[in-house]
Amino acid sequence: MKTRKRSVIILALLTLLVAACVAPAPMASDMAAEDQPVELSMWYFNWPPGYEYQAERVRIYMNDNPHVTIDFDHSIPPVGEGGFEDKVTSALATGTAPDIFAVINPQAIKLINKDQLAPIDSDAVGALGFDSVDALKASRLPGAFDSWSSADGTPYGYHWELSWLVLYCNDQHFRDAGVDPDAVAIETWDDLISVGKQVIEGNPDFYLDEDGNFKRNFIKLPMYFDDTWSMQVLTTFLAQAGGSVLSDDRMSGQINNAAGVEAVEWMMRVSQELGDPNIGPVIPGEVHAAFGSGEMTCDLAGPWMYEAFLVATESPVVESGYHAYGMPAIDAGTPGNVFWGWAWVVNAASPNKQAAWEFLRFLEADPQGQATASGIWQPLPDIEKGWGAGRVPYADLVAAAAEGGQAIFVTEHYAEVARILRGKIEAMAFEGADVQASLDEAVEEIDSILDGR
Amino acid sequence: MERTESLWLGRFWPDNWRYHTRMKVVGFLFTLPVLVFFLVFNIYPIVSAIVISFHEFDLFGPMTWVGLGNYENLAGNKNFWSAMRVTLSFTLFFGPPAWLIAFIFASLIREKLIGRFFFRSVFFTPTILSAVAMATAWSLLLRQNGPLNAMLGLSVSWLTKQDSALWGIVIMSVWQGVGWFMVVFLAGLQSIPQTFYEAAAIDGAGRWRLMRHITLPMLRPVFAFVVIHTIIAGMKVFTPMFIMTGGGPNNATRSMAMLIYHEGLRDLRMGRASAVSMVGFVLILILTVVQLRLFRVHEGIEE
Repeated sequence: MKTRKRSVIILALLTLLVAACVAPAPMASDMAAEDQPVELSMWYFNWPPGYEYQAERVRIYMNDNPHVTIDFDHSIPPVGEGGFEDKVTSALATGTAPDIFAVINPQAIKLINKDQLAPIDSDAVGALGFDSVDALKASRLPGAFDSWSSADGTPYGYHWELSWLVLYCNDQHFRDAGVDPDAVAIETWDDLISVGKQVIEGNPDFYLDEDGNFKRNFIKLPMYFDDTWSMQVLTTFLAQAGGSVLSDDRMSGQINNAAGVEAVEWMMRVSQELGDPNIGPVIPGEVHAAFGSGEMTCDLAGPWMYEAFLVATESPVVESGYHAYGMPAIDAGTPGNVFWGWAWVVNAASPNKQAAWEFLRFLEADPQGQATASGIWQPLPDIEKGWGAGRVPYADLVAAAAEGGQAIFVTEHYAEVARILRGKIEAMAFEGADVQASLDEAVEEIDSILDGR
Repeated sequence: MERTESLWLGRFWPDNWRYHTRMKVVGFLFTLPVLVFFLVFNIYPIVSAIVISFHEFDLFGPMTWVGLGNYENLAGNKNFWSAMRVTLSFTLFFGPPAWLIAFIFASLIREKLIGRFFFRSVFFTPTILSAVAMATAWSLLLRQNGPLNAMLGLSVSWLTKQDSALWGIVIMSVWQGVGWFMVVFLAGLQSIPQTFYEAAAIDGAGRWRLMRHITLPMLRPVFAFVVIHTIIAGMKVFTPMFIMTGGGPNNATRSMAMLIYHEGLRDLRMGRASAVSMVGFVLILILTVVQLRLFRVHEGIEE
């Protein structure tokens, strides 16, 4: 009996063993995804509304995927966003860069051309939850991927943010000058100058000193002492005038042509007729702060203005009210705007690219939660309809300002070109340098850079 | 010889090593950690910079030999000459006012005045504060409609005009640098024996003569140190320009250090950035040697 019982047990164990051997084994990749521990590292710069949201998403992801560990670093770089770029560049050069990091679009092409970033290829696009690269591109605003793509159109960045410029104005300042902000329509820069002069004349003590000189700006364009911001403002005006910084083949500058001169002359008119560029805040961050504190009447800023700037700083402007007027154009019928922002990229040297893309799919899977928590908009069509309509004032106008938007110009020499143009903008705005002569000088300098001289 | 035998190392000495040889080896071993640190973090980067300055190098690809190409490029590069002019102007305009104010403060604080310890701390405080924070604060103070102009009854666009932006940065730097120079001068003043002054006073010397014939000659080594320090600090200036103006307006405040940063990290031209840094290095070296020579000549004449 005992022997029989033992035989049955042995037979059962053997059956189990055979069954285990015959059963289909999980795919190697599934094993890796589900069982193998994966360690990812990720960098972002120290901007609280952004990293706090990301840190929470990281925590949730690690909780749901215990085999994945993400080392998220958002420590303060040497100085601001520029310092973050330097940190990334140095880390890539020394082989110490993380698996995932954020890249602002003008910097992307430099890293793409130097083979530092992993492309969004067929494997990556699957991990991001799309059938094809075309499907991925179709899910975003037209042109959103342009400045994160190589020359053959392969995308390298998965958007965290896309921004464009929108005009915001303080209602109380309008009312103090006897101007009804609801009755005002600002479709062109001419409209803005006209309204601005009306507001200044209606409340001269606020804007002018006893000698009639500006003591406060009605508006100050956020474009001084900062290459990135100066290019955002300049290229937006250029897009409206039908001009561009570089020729189509990117081998020479052409901003000194008629369209370029027209764009810059409008910039100067707005800057110098509605304020004095030499007074008040200079650096773009301080300019936005001046709008938030009620020191300045109007400001050009991104869709993030309400959540990330006014609400986060408890601005009195939220209480007193403000209007978003979309983006004024040079000609009413031809709006224009320029896209810039940050995208997540995966290090070409990362051993965990697939896991990185899978995590990024999760990180960006709640665009409305992201927008509410951080004020950062992903470039999704109609994003404002699901989230912003009830929460963010003028979300529809802010979104509409992106229509017809185009990518900021791309060149491997972006940093040098931007520095040259910023210098000329400063000379024109602060010291009244001649527009045509300044742009001629700029093109001469740009050409020498592009020629490799 | 017996004194080294108690050392653990003593058992490894070759028998034919003399006492002084053994002491040299021991001394060398004690300095070895610092030496290694110095070689790795000072000498290696300098040698690398020299080597890179003769190459084209974008940080990611291989280096390509270009000989003196980067240096030839600098000769005709208006950005380089502009940065050189900014750097030398800053050094020249920052040094003398800072020394003068610091010397006056040190002289006053040396006297037995009420609250001198308090003032010493107050004047020194800017030196220990964050340069970035100070630059940010001063960019607010220096606005055209800011507090400094209001206080002085001026309407100067300190940071936005090309001919005044460097002055704005110099004012901030003098304010921040005075405390450090004051401490150096104070140390020098306190090292002058009081008996010199007493003897001169008995001979009827007034304040001016005491200053001219005792204080200033006795402080000559201190002045030499202060001048060298100013040249080195001035030639390397970066933070105030980076924070207050970003090198603007229109490159009017872009220093050599900032040009190196732009060329290297922003434009990925490490070869040219290294060439600029080598020129700066040689310039500092020449100015320092000349300054030291001048000081030695004067000392010789005195003696």
